[in-house]
Amino acid sequence: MKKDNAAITIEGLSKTYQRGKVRKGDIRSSLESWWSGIGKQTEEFFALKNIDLSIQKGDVVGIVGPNGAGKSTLLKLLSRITFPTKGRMVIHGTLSSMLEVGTGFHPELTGRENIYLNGAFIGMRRDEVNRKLDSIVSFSGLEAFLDTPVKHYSSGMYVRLAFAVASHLEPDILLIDEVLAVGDHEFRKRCMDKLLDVSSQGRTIIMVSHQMAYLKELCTSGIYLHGGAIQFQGTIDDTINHYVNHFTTARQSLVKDRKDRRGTGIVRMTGFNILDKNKIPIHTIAAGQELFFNIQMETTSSQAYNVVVQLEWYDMFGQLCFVANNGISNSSIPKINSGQSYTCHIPKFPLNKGMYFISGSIHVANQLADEVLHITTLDVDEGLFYATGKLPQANKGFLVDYTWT
Amino acid sequence: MAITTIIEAGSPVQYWRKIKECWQYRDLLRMLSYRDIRVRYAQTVLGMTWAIINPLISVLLLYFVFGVVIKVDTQGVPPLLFSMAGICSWNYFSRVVGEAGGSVIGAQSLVKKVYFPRLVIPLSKSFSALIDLCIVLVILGGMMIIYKVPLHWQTLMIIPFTLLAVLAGIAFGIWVAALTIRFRDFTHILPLVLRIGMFLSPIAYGATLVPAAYKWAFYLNPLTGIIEGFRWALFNTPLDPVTVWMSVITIMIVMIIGVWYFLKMDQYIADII
Repeated sequence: MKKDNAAITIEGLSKTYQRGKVRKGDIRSSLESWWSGIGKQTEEFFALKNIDLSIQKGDVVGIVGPNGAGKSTLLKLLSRITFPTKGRMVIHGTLSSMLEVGTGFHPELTGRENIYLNGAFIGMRRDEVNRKLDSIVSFSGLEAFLDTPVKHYSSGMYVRLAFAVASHLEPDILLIDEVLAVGDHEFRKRCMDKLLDVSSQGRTIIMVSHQMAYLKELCTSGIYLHGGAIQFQGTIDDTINHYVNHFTTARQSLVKDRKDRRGTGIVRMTGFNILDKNKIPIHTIAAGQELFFNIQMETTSSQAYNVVVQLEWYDMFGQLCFVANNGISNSSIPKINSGQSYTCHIPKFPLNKGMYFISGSIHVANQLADEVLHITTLDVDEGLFYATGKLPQANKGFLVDYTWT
Repeated sequence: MAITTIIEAGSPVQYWRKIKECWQYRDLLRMLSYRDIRVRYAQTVLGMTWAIINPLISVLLLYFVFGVVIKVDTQGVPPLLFSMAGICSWNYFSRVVGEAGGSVIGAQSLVKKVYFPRLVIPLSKSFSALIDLCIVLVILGGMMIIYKVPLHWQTLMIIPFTLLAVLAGIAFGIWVAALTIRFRDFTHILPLVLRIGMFLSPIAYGATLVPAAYKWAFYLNPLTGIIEGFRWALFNTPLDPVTVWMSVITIMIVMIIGVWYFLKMDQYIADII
């Protein structure tokens, strides 16, 4: 690697946060922590731990990893939103991040005013916006609504306007954090073309996304982050393969250890497996495959009567695809014992090719006992849902068994 | 032109660089101020008239209490004008400080998502509130004509005193904003202090009425010099130069402390907020 061609060099970068005892924003806790001595250890955790990384000019890098892996933290550090705890970053050239849709918009202001406001937030000068205004407006296709307050816009129009501004940024390095996950398909396609256009001008792009399909199409190289450390770095295809294989196995054992759950805890999910028809755990699912979704549960009480388990399948836009609820299809489980497992059988998996995730919840006597969001991510591949082996396009809804006569 | 940014943990805060950065982001400052002004009066039936009605009501209230009921000595100035000249700079100051206090917290969705010099947020409040001050000053000018108050060169001195009020707003606004980020308690403390400050500032009464034993407290109030200065410029009421210098010194000290504290907090803002 030639050093002079690096866009970003990162050495020994760490970022820690204090777990539980976040620096509370009131005087009392401040005095208390001063009183009890500054040397007293609070529990720290590493959002990023000792990262070394070099990104070359013109690279389009996709960062993958499960939630909490430190992807967004890395982008936040690069964009100077937060400051590293340890280490050093050298950034060559200007750097901007593409904003999540609607951030920096004010509903009372008109489209035109919001273009200027949004541009100013991402560091565009007024004359720069002036120069690009026509191009921004025509890209968004909102000429007729330019002087309407954006609160009257539909969410689609919002996205168009936001992306139109953002895509006219011309930094040397562009950071994108999951912003492509919104908007209609056609517009996303245009945005993507625009981004590729940007990268062909020799700009460096770093993007975080759960949309493997987009990453595959856009990126040249990839980084797989897990637990704040780089697990793998290579071409985007290799990275995604590594990620999908790694975390589908790693993730399931984690259900038990997940802290971000809600509910009384009388019954808790402790394990989650996806099995094929031979009851063998699998990582990648084919559309139309026969599947068993197995949940292991534990209970602290002998009173766990009337148990309802619900699994929810979401696409990567967070749109609910379908639910499986034993209280609806069968009846609630009269009583649960510790270590018991419960399985949802889906004879023909109805989701098309793409990435999805599953959330689960358990109700005991109509009270939420446990809820874990995003238990695992599903990578669904093409498969034999229909006898022909053909499938509709990925954005054409889910799959239903039907016949024509 | 190649710009190289080096971010290193534990490196000292580059105060000067961060202040210069605010200048680079002056378009953002302008847009934020503009947004505040637009939004404040958007969708209200009376629109900008509120900028007139609000101060007018408080002036009439002050006039009634201090001019009609208590009959405070106004040093020969018509009581209505006396109160009005007193309250305009205070209203400006308390609006700026009040809004700047929670401003960074209010903008947290942005602060966590995009980098820009955070100093711009409280700073913009001192500019957006300026429009209301100007409106009141215009009304005041109109009333002075009605009351046939003579204008002379001294009237122009209103400009440096307005400037001083803006500086006071900036200084205290930035400081309070930083304190509020660190200690949310200030969202409760601030309105209290501002309410106390309103009575402890010589708005409807002259500073000359304050007993000598309490004069020191009024010297510490940076608004004393500004309010008295406004009236001196407009009506040539007696002005104690000490109060003016005390105001200037207090404002400068708070400005330095405020900006220093804010910038020291700067790199943690997204983590704390």
